[in-house]
Amino acid sequence: MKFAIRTITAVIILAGLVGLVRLSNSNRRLTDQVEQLEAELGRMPIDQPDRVHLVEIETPDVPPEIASHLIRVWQFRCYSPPGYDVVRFSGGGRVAEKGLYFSGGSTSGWGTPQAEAHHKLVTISFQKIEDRLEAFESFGGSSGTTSWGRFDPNHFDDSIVVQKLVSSKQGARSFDQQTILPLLKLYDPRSAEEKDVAGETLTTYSGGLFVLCPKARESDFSQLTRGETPEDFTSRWIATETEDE
Amino acid sequence: MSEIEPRRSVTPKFSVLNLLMLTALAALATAIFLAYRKNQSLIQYRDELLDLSSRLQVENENKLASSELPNVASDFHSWRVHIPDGRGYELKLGVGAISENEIPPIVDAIPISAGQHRVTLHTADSASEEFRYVVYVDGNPVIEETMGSEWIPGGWSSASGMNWPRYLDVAPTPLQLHAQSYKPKHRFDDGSYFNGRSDEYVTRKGYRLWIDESDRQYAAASPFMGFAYDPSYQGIGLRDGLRFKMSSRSPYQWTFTRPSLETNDPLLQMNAEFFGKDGKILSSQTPSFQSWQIRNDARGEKELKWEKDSDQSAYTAFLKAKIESNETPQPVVELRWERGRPDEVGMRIADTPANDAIERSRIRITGGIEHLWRELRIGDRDVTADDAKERGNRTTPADEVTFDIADDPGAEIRIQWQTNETLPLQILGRQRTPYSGMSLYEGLPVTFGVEIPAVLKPTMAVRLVEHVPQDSAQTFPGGTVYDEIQIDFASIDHDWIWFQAKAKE
Repeated sequence: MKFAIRTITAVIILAGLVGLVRLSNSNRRLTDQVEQLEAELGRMPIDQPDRVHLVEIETPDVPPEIASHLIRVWQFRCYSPPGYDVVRFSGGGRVAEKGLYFSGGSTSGWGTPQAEAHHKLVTISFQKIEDRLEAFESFGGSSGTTSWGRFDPNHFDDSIVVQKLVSSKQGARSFDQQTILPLLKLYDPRSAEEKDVAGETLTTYSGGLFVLCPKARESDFSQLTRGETPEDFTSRWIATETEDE
Repeated sequence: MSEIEPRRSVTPKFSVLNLLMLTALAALATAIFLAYRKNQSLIQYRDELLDLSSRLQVENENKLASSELPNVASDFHSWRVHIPDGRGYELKLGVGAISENEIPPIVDAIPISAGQHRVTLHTADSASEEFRYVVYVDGNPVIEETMGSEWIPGGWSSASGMNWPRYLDVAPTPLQLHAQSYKPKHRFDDGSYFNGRSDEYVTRKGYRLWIDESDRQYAAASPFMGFAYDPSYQGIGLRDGLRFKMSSRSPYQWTFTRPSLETNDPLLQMNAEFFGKDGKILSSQTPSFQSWQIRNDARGEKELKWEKDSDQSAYTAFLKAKIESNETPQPVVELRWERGRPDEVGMRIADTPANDAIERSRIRITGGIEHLWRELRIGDRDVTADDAKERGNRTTPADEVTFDIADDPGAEIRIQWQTNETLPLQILGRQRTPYSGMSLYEGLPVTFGVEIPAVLKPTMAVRLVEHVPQDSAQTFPGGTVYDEIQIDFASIDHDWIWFQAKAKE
């Protein structure tokens, strides 16, 4: 009896060891694959699963026949935590160097928040179609285009100012779900114009904005684009280029 | 004398070895659990990344496979494709008439060799870009087709994806990469926004891009629908014409829709009444009536089963009344659709013994309030609803007026009616307050008609309505409307009556 119990236990331990070795091998293979994929799609460890994570993809995989039609393209990977309810906003018109001031034509889109966390690609690209600049933006499956009517496509050169929330140099960043995320702001520094905005004089530029705005902050966001200050506003509501919020 | 039983220990002895084994087991279980959890989360993460990277996963080397790359511009789509060895495959672009059942004419097809390729489609689909379509294989342009700026006059308002026709059951299955159908933009005099709604079986302009065996040909799509592979809730009849639909809300009523007029709402609604030679009547008021059944034969024995035959130019279906008792006539009505009569549906009392007991029938075409019918033409005579009100005779109820139509010359009597409004009624409903509470017809403006042989000795009556249904104190802003058109006819000779609903000119 004692012998039988010991034999069975030994067999179980042996079987367990074989299983463990197999699992470890499989994990090693998976880790290799993941590392390879992350080399393409950016490295982004998810240490706090309830925060939004973003990483820039250094070289977006764009076929050359498409790339030749595009002026510029940026791509990010976004980790959406469970229930992340967000509106994507894209607009071309006039912006200021700091803050979310915006006036011009825009599109926004949203979907139903998903119960499970998931990864999405965010793509922003520019194309010149018949002397006008057209901005394309996609967030997961939802996409839209905006015509940047007032922006001269010939001015879309190296001198334009690009403000990115995350950059491939800096690596991945994470944000609270309630933070407004200005993914990308572009403007032409040669187009400065003083403008009276909400009782103050603001230097505005020809350019545009791409923002991920929490659904709950939508009306605050539209106030901010008008240059107004929403009630209880603190600077922590808006993610900035450098530090984690 | 009693034997002393040897005492056995009930609790196992805890030897060092046992303790060691137990510890090893626990440690192993924990390690396995942790490794398993890590494995699961790695698999999930890898799969998510794989989805994002849109790498092509070929599960079966002998099958076509594709994976779409993430969109980086609205006018470009790109796929990685796997082409199996051994068969000659071609990449085909069709541009022109398209629907869920239709393959547009192939404008170009180029051979594509076995192995992996990248296919890119560029759609410069605006009038200013002259509706230009370019297909690239591995970066090289291989197909280019320009349809011209007038291809969709007035432009399009939205485009929707199309599935590969489900009745095209061929092996190996072609691989569709992309298909779009453009919904034309409708402009009206005042520039108001028109919101059309229709289904994907309506023929529109669009394109399909797919990979298929080089020598495979497809017959032209049937203009009819109601075959086994068509979803029955979309109706039977003509895809772009009138379709018969069962209504669960009013089972007695016959409803026809015409989604090509930009609405899925009922368009032609009829209530029939049958008068037996013995004085018995079947109408919407008959309590023993249960339902109309769509059948395949005049006796009404078999379920409807249309066989697809590309040469067949007409299809018929039979409506049989299901009635609980024998106290009422049990008519069978035959419906007919013809390829050459795209705006019409034919109807007759079917040539079957069950119909011998019927003497006369009456078709009441209802829904005039939703359509604001005000203009009526009988032969060459024009009668507006306001005129008809003036003529109202005393023998019928005040709101019902009869017309003598049998004295019209010719073997066919033609009656047409329509609204006098020029804007689509949905725009009118948004603009003018007296109409805003009414559920006006949502589609494009329509002209209705009926063509009935004089041999059936038809008579006609109309019902008029002066007041807005929700408010009896308020008259219609544009004048009296015809609410109902009634046609009576004798059950002789089984001649066809043709009902018409077409876009108003």
